[in-house]
Amino acid sequence: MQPSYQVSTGKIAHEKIDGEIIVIHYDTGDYYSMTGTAAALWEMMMTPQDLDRIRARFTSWDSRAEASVTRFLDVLVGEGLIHATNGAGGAVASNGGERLVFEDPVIEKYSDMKTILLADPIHDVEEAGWPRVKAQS
Amino acid sequence: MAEGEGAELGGADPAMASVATGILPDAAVTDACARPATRAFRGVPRAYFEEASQIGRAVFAEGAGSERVYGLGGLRCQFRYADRAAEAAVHRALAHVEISPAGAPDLTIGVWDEAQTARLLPDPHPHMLVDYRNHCLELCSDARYLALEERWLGTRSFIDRQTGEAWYCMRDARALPYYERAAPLRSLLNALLVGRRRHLVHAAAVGTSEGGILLTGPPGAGKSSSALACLGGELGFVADDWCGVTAGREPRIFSVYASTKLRLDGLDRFPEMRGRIDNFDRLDEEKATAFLAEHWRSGLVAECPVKAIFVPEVTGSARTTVVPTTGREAWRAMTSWTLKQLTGCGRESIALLTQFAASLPAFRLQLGRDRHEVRAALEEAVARL
Repeated sequence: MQPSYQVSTGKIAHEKIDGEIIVIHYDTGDYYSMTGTAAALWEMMMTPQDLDRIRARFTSWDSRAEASVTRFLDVLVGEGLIHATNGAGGAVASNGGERLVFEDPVIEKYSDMKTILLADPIHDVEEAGWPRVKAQS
Repeated sequence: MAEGEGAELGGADPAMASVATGILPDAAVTDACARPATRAFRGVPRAYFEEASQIGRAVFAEGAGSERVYGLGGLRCQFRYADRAAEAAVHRALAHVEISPAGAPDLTIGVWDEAQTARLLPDPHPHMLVDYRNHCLELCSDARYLALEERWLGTRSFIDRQTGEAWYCMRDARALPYYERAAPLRSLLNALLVGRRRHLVHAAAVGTSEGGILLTGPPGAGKSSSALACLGGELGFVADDWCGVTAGREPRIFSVYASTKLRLDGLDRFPEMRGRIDNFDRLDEEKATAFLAEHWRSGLVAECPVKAIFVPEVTGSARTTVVPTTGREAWRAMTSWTLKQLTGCGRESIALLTQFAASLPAFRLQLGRDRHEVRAALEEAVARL
């Protein structure tokens, strides 16, 4: 069974701003920008999507397009923005039906707001409870 | 990486296509907002908060002081002042949004001055102190409690979300810095607002009851001068430095503080402000501060729908122009300067501010030297958007 991919909503905030998807990773403080095909793929992955389902959404699909999308998905998984599962990508995308012209998906990563967006200074307390703070690893 | 420059990931072709797509479901944002504001600690010293709560209750059990209710973004916010010094330090900036005390408040904050009441909150345990975001934020919090120790202000505040109690304690109200008097209780108020889909943002704002514009950007970008340029014109003054925003399908802005702070060169540009400056004897150390409700009450707007986010910049040229910019630039300007200067913000804040920015068109306001042109450009923008 081929993997399905879905947006990892737990550690990120994301919005569509003026046609551009902005994704903020809470744990790293990095944020990402996606437009065009990348934005379309992102929105598709609000529900689980496998490659068959992604392929069906685009015109002019070929082996180069498949390699490009696979590379894009690997990047998103590596950045912790989406996760792969073995479940079927059976859900229909919210805007399914409209076939899109394929262009290589592009994601840009920004780290210039890292210290601002890292909202949660981790400062765990040990099992024994307050005030025994865990030693920093 | 240079500031503002993005790195393309994965070595893909940089070509981008413009593809019309649907709107993200609200669930994506709701999921993030449902999380605790911060997980700085997964356990907090309950004893500290219990002791602090007892002290706060004791201050107000004595029955002295006064109560005022302010209307902030549609919420009835009751402030209980334990003493005159506390009220004098806080009320002036909020006087324009005071409303009738009749009716149940949506939130209540107890405000007192340690120097007057001799009621001291306990010192925080060293493990409660956390510094981050490049300034001395000191906090301890979990899903129930939030404590803010803002030593540079000489204030301590905390919230018990379970009981709904909130306290703001000044070491010495008469020594409260001028910038805190101009916009008091920012962090505490914001912590209470954020759970109600509202937020404070570092921005000026102008508008009418029909609609307004949020002006955001770094200090010195021209936010205050743009807002002041509108005084006496068609657009009312909503905010100078800190503005309230309500996220949602019909985003709104609301006034919290009717104060303005100007550098000395700003006084040259707005000579009518000279007679209205509150701290004229301390301008060698402080920005010129004025409480506008005491001078232009009729020119203030409490709340309105917001039509756009403007990012002003001083160009030095003769003309003022308005040009479209990316939503990302407006989001970045608003979010970065808000989070840098507001203590205690967490994931909920980031998600809410991002959702708010996503719902509005963005423009760059290239400020010319003529203040009347700035006013005209903003009036035209509000009329056309």
